[in-house]
Amino acid sequence: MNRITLLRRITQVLCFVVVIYGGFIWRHPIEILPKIQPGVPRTTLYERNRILWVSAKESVADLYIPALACRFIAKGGFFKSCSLHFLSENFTWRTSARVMMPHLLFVLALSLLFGKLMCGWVCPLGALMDGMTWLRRQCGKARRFLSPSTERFLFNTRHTLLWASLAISVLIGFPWLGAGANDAMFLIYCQFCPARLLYPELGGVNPCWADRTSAITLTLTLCGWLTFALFFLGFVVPRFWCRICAIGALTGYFNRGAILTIEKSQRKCTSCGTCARNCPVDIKMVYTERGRPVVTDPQCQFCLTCLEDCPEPGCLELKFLGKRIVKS
Amino acid sequence: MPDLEYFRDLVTTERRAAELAAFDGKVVGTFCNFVPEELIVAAGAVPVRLCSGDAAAAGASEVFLPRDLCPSVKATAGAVQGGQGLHGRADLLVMPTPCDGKKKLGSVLAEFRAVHVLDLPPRKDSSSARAFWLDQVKELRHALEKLTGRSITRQTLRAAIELFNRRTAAWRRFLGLRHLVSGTDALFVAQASFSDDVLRYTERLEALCAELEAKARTNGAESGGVRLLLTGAPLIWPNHKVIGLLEGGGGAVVADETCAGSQRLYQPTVLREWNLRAMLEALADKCLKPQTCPCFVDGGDRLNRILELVEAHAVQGVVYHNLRLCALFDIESFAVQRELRQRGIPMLTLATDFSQEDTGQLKNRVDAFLEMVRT
Repeated sequence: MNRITLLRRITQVLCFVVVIYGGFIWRHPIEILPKIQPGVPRTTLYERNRILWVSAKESVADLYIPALACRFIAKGGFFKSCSLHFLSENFTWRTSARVMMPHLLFVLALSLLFGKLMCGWVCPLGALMDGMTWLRRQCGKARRFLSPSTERFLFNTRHTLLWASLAISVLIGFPWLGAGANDAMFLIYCQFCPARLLYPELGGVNPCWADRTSAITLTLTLCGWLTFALFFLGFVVPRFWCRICAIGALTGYFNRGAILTIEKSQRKCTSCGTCARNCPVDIKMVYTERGRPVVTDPQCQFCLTCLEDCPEPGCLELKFLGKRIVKS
Repeated sequence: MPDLEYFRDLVTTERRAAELAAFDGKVVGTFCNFVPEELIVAAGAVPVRLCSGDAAAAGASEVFLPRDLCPSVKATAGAVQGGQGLHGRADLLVMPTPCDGKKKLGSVLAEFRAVHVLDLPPRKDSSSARAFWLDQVKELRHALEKLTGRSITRQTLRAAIELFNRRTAAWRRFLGLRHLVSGTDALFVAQASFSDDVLRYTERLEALCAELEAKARTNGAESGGVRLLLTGAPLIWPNHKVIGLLEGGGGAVVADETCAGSQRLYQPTVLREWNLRAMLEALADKCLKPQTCPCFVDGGDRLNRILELVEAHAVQGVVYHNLRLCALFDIESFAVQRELRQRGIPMLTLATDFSQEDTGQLKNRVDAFLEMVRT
């Protein structure tokens, strides 16, 4: 196997084990789920257990990451949750900047330094999808391709989901829609994120498949069935969920920052198109860009397949802060 | 002494024709570098590239082809019609359509032999061109299966692609050692691949590389001579007139950008999954997208390749071989000339054909050019 791919697989396995099973490996003593008292209105985050805080324990590290670590991992997992959960929750509660700042800085730092390398190397959902691709290849089955219009549609969908979730998070922090609606739309993205259903299962715990508290929660959690099913399309389209994931969309905004970049030598390139053909997320930019040297697409997860497969030595380079780390 | 005789032998003698005369399978004649020969091998046939540089055959074709036509097209047509040697042995001809000449050859040659035309899109960089070409490759697959009566399966195609990749790897290794042999010899090594058995050729090429690497370790000095890049229309045996003049006059062709030279074996087929669909798409891409034939609307890739080779091999002068009556190479020479002039690299354009009549004139121009570059 190619060396970079091997390194990435090892990293993915390690991160998978740490993120999903961190709560089993490093036991955190704090029990965070208080008893529910009937009749007393729920006002705090920790009392809202119907969507399943299946994890009764706090996570090992009080950190959020720009990848799918999740609040719903059995025994808390290693990280607290993903960046979208962090923003969503704190936008609703209008948490003070002082409390938010350390977490925000950490997430920002990871996003700025690594961009969607987090998706390609760390995210457990991504690792699962790569596992699905591996299985498909073992069975000798060809992948399916998405039409350009489908790709555009999914692009619009993920960005819409991201901003709508954030907007709603802000909105329900005010009393305008009423307590019922506010409560029902709390952590709206989490309600239909496939990780909420998948991750607890991985830790041997049952998630809530349908939250019947209100019509809104029921609708949203049933949407979770749809996204859960869509996730398994990763068997036929590599990294299918990444094309819908709002967390990925958020991290993608940092991808074109000048810190981690993929650069191409126009002159060494023979236009063989291998990069575009082998890219798991169907990025064409590395092949089509003929002017500027930086060819980092906002969707790029730095799996470095393009770089590994490029037949021209020195044509593609991975650079960090302008310094070359590895080349084709 | 590096064993170059083997390659020279394959090109200049009828040895391979004799081998294939005794072979009872199907032989498929190809042209240019657009034909995915992996498909031919996977179907159980033997691919032979039949582009010809034979002046006599070109003359013979003037009975049924116009005199004012690309000499290479005429030579190929004359050789097929004559039916001798490898040109006579081919059971099927796969003719891509890069230029006017080859387009019409598709119907002219059908009178003498079975022809399968492979339609080439006029642009290679659009997604519609890619889809169109993939369809053509799939049609070729069915035609080959029908010819040999054997299906192309995942296993046979994978084996063929891996063999050809091994050959490409050996070729790229050879290109790194090319300075230890003459440009003429390098052309023979390239053109031996037209007809030789793929596995045997690969093994011989790997052995040659090992010899050259050993030689480099003991005596790495290359012969002197003005460092030249040869580009333009291909020089196909026996039309080695131009390179003979260049190296005879004290030039060393350290690199070339021609379809019958370096570009012949240069592209690998890089795959991460080995199902039929992925393999066919990869093959189609490999045979179209990186090709530097000037038949496409945009000539940027060829320019890049020339500039890259000039830098990589410290080339002092570029020789542009214009085959007379080829509008494509002729038109492109202006863009190449402009780019090279901007970089201060001298270029010599030689417009010629297969005849020996202008040898004297060419020699004068070549010698003057080499003299100019030396100073």
